[in-house]
Amino acid sequence: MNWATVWFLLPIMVVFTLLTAVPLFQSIYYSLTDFNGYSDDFNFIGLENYQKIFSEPQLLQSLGFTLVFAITTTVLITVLALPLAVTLNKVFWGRSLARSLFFFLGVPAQAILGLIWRQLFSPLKSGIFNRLLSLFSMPPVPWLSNDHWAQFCVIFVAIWMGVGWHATLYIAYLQAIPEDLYEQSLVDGANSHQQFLHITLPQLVPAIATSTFLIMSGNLKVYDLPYTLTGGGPGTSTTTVTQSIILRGVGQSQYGVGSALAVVFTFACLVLVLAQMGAANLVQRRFS
Amino acid sequence: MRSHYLKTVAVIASIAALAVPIAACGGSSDTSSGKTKIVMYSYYAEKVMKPVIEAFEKKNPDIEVSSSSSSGDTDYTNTLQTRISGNQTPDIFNLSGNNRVDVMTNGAAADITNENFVKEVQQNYLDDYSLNGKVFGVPISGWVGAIVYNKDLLKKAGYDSVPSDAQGFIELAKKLESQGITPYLENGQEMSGSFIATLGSYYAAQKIDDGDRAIYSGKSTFSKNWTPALEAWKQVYVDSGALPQEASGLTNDQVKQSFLNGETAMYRSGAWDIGDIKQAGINYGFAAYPAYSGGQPYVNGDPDPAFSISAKLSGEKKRAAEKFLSFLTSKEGVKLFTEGYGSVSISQNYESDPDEHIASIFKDYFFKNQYHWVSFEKGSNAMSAEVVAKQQGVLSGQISPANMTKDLDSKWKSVQ
Repeated sequence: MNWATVWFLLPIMVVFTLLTAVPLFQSIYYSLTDFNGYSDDFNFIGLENYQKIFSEPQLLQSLGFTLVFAITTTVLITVLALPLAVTLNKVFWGRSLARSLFFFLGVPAQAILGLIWRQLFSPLKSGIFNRLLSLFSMPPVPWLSNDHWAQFCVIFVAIWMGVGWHATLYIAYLQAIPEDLYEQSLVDGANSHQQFLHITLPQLVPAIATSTFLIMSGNLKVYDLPYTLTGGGPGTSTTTVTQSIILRGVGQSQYGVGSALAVVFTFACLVLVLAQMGAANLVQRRFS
Repeated sequence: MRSHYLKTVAVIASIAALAVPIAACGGSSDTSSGKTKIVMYSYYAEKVMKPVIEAFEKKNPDIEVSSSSSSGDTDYTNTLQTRISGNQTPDIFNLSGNNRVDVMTNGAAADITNENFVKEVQQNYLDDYSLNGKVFGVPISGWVGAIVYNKDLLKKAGYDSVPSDAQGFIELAKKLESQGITPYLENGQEMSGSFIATLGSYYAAQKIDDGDRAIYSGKSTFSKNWTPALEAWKQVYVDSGALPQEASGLTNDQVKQSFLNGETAMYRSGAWDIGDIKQAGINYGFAAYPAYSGGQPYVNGDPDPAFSISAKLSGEKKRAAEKFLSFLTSKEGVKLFTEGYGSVSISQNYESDPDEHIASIFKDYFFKNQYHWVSFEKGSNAMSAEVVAKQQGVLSGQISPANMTKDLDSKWKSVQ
């Protein structure tokens, strides 16, 4: 047994146990009780909480928006970050500055960016984007006061934040592609389009798998951005599952139901992410 | 061998580096200086509590008050609940309309009925913080929310002040709108202040005593008690165009900014914004919300969140916490607190001198009990969120008042 490995893993195992495994098992335990968050006097009620969450349309609606948000941002960030990475990987004047600019879009906390974008998307005539529209004699847009526009805004800001960061990830992989592959393809008469399709893209499959995994797993549990940008509204149009868990568990003093929702969501995410990883492995094998 | 030795040292150093900050998270709540340390989690911002704490600590050098706070009802209620559920109940905390029933019924607050500092506040202000004849929290000040209006913009529309009747208000809104001015705005992320005032006026006009409590106790429903007032509110504010649909996407700061820019003629506010309004040089006034047909104009208002002591305290810490509340409710404490918070004293120990423009609102409405506010006795955050979501639906024309109250009845059942 390699004791150094064991000792090096020990700190992170302690952190994982304390901050992830214990709360997860506590949540599973509370999900089977009527714990209200205040009193230690609670009862075991079996699967009653699980029955409740599957019969509430509002919870299902928040699940729907969360899935739309996670899938849309995963697809669009990937589609936009790939060509951006290829472009930023080329040699041109100001390349380092351009790379830094795109990377730093995603550095500030989501909550801060949500508050800033909230000002930009103000639905008033005096809102910044509405003022810009008025310069072109266009009517004001009800950015955050209309269900569909609000959903668009949340997804747009998430993409805006994520593209630069994931492009940087792709750049790191791009730089690891052996140059001789391109040289050999030139000898064979390949054009740049063919090089991208038959060399760059297959070589980037591991990067795409990593990037989409990070986006999907991060955005399924999104909370800060929609909370600060729209507060989950108008109505419940931009409410996410994590908001529902907090609202139901803490806001309604029903920790049991909130915990049940959290447990179901954790396992749903696990299934989704495993499916995504499985699909990525299949694609990787196809190109390897 | 040497490599193995170095690896072992590196591992031990890594673990030690990790362990130090973890260990720092725990620790005793008492200082080593021999002082009794009490922990306060305050609803009120640091700038409000700091002068009070400093004055208290000066008078009581053997006690140290460690204070933290959260901004906003929801954050405060959620954090306090999380701390209570995690056995980290602060020694002193606040009971608000949103958490009072849960905290009192679950025994998290100490019974302070017989404490002298409670006797300085009139019984009617203590009612919200009492259960089964026992007092669990002491409020020391009150707040009002009303219509702040730009006198110059109203004058251009031919008005000196805000009409107190619904029809007059609708006419004013239409005149302002025709001049390209947004008539009225309020924070779209909170329960509508204009609706709650209309509800208070409706209850008074219909002689419905404690209409909201009747709903909470199961004697009535939202459909029965709220629908007429909600329909009246929709007619006066939504159908007339006084409150535009954009309001549902606005925060308090955006609403205030629009008023300060001169784009909006009226908005819901209170003493907390007077400094900013004065700084912007706006010629302003305060007015009550228009009356429900056959009723009286009403404002929003309530006693401010009350101060409570943890039921788990005992010995020196309990005595220190009681001392703090005694000081807070003394003349000096109330003066420092109300001046910092911009509210008005409801303690018999001290009479506040509010801004001249809002003084009449306190005098004519608050102290005459012509105010109303909605505080749900169960699942307050979830119920408030439901009201906000549904009122946004009414504002956008997606749901009717009757459907909104029907949904609220369903939600109320689910939080029981």
